[in-house]
Amino acid sequence: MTPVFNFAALRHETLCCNRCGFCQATCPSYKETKDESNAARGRIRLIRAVIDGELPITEGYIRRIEGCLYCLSCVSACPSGVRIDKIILAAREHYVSAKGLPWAKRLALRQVLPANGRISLASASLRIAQKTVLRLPGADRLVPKGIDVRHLPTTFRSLRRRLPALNTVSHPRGHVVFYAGCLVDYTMPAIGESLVRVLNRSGVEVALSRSAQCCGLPMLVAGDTEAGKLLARRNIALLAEMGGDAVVTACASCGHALKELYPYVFRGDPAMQAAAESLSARTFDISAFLVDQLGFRSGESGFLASSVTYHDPCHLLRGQGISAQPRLLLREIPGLEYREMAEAGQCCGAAGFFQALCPDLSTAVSNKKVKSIADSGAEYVASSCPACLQRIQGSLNLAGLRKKAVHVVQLLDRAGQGLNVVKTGQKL
Amino acid sequence: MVSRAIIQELQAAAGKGAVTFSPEDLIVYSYDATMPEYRPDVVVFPQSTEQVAAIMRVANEHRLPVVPRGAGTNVSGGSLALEGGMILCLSRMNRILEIDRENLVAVVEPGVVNAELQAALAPLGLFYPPDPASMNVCTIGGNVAENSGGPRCLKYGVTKDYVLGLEVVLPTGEVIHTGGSVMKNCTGYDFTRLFVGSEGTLGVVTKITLRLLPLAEAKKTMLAVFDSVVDASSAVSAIIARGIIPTTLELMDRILLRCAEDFVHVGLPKDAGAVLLIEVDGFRESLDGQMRQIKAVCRANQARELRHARTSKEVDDLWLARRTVIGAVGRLEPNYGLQDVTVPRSKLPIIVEEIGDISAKYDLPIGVLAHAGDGNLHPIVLFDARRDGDLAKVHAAEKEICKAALALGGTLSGEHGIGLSKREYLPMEYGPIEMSLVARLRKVFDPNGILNPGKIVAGGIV
Repeated sequence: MTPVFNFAALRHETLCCNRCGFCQATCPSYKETKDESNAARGRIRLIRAVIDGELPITEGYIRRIEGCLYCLSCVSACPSGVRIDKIILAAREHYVSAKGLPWAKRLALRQVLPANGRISLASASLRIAQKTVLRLPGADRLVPKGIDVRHLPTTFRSLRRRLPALNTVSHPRGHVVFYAGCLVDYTMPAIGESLVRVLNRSGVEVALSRSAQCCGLPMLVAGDTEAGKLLARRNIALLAEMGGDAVVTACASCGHALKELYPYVFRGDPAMQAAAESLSARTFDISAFLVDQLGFRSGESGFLASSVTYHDPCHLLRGQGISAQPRLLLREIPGLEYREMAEAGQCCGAAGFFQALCPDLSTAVSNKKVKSIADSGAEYVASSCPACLQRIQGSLNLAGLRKKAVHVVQLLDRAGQGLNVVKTGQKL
Repeated sequence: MVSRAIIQELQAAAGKGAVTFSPEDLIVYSYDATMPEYRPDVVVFPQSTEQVAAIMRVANEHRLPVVPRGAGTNVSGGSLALEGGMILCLSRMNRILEIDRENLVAVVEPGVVNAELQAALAPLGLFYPPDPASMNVCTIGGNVAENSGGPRCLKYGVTKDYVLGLEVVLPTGEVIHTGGSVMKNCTGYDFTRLFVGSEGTLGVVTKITLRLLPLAEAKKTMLAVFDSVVDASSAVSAIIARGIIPTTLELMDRILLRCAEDFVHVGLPKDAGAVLLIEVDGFRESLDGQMRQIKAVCRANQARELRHARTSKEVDDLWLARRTVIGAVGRLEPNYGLQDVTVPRSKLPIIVEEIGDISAKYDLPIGVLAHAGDGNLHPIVLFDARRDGDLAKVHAAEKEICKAALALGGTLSGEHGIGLSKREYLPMEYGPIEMSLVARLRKVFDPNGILNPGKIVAGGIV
């Protein structure tokens, strides 16, 4: 296969790190471990060691590069502007092409995620397990510690089975395609249903990309670039064919893939790069779409007597540069008190497969987030990414806090339905 | 190489998980914020004074070099394992042990990050004045070892003015205590001050008692923009000569303004010759008067614009630009040499002109960053180590900067220490007797020469 990243050419990029060490202040894994090889500065140095042949690809090397949550916080904190994210992706691609993927990742990335039927089956199987095996005493030993597998969102009926291909309104003022992504579609379809209702109420008809596939981000960040690109190609072609005024996402990671990673991985392939850039330009996170494109004002649409804080998903805040719009939407909901939490932009610890592979570290990072949420005193924690919501809800549950993690559009939807009182813990 | 037996003794002293000698770890503990690299043989992460003492006894017995280190943000090469041996990383000893509001004193372990201490103090209406640019990552232990300064040290003084007492493990493994929670202490020699700024060569600090201050009621922040760096430095000297001591008086020249602006995007004037970042703090009513006087002096020295920060975000943005600028020079060239010379404050305009001449002579860009009110300059020589001849030119230019500062009655280092980077220049400032005193003093504390060998002065294991 042709590598997307020219690993050796990265040497120059690694040398642009002048080792000021400021990445230590933002890296979640460094802050937990205080281990230099867990900060961007250390990882960059190790990658250069491999480029230069100073260090072979060792298990210890792989473990340290895998210890990056791809939260992008070092990228925005780096005074020298080193693209640590791109260096990490290249390093992962390099050792994955040399050593292959571990079997569990290979199964997930090569067998399950590229096949929608299998994702659906996986979600349904876990749901069955949650209602049976995982209820048995001693089931704790079966699941990674610190992750509330018993209550991970799962469903028997995916979003694409719940909703028609076109959700239309009379005299639509616009037509958008909703790229739901695997987590919304197969595990948290309620988010998608809310999104469609909110857009419909604003007079926008919504088409669902029923044969859309996983965005490919899990593969790209795991170093299986080839598998990621294959899915990217299919999604780019499908979404081009579906047309519409815009593509909206409710998942920060999918949005980051469509907007930022697709154009990047097709560098050097002019036709594909142009197609990826065209898709990138017309893809919007739902909050940004509502505020910037529709001029949506949540103040004019309903009431919700409660309080909320907001968690910035890494791939929305730093991955797409969006932080104001979701807050604006929440602040303007009448009756809803907005409370900013401390360190709202700090990673929640989920980081895709990271939470399963490094459960201790993930849980330590996640518990910090839980503390910020608890200290805010808000009843709800809203966010813009199903992966964050899943992780945060699980950590809240395990901490015994009766607070709900919800997507911004779910609160907009609920407010718009005019149901004033929602008690904490009540199913949204 | 360290023998298997020594590794086992270290594991017994610090716990198995606290000792690493994997190639990956040795590579990432081979550097600090300077350019050279030296690979240690082993890295140890103690978590208590007893462990540090046990580790030092092992090291002393086997004549194993030991380099204490915190976050590794040292800018004088002080935390490099020049002779191999052990990196003793104190980052995991990071508890704030006590904040005593009645006595305005805090007791901390060395691995506490400066900003984390500030964050714990602010809700109590207190602060710890030294604020190095790297305060978000650097540790208090490192600050003590280097006698670190920072922008607001102009008004408040540097680390040595706030360390009241220390717990230190000597290279031989004995634990001593100096000073304490008292504001005055005239009992015997001032051992505390001897250790502050000793760059990890006399002992390993394991506990630090710090003096705290109440936060000022209010502050005001202003950016004064000048067409030339010499005008800006003349304004600084004139402000000080008038007897006005602001909290900060920071200077950044054009090269650095551009790097900073490219990172923070806050509208810094990229076409200006230099800016002064000026802050005053104190009682609310006193601030306008102070600022008025400062503005008058700036105008008299050809300031072309005086910008007030109006919101706390504007203040934060200006400080973010200043704190990150050294890292941000990576946008221009991959390498930099950072100097730390300090001159009497009235000589600031002269040294700034001379640095300009040196830059022209060697055809090297030299950015001038300064805690100008202190006369403490950080000329940053930008270069690319891969370019032939650059490194030699950089050394020559740096040596001339040091000479120029000394000729003006200045010193080699204001707040970064001598470490490795300025070791060869030390004999320019110290005579033979002082040089020999350094060696003799070290021998008293460290008979076998195991602690941070080769730093400040050449020399190694006895």
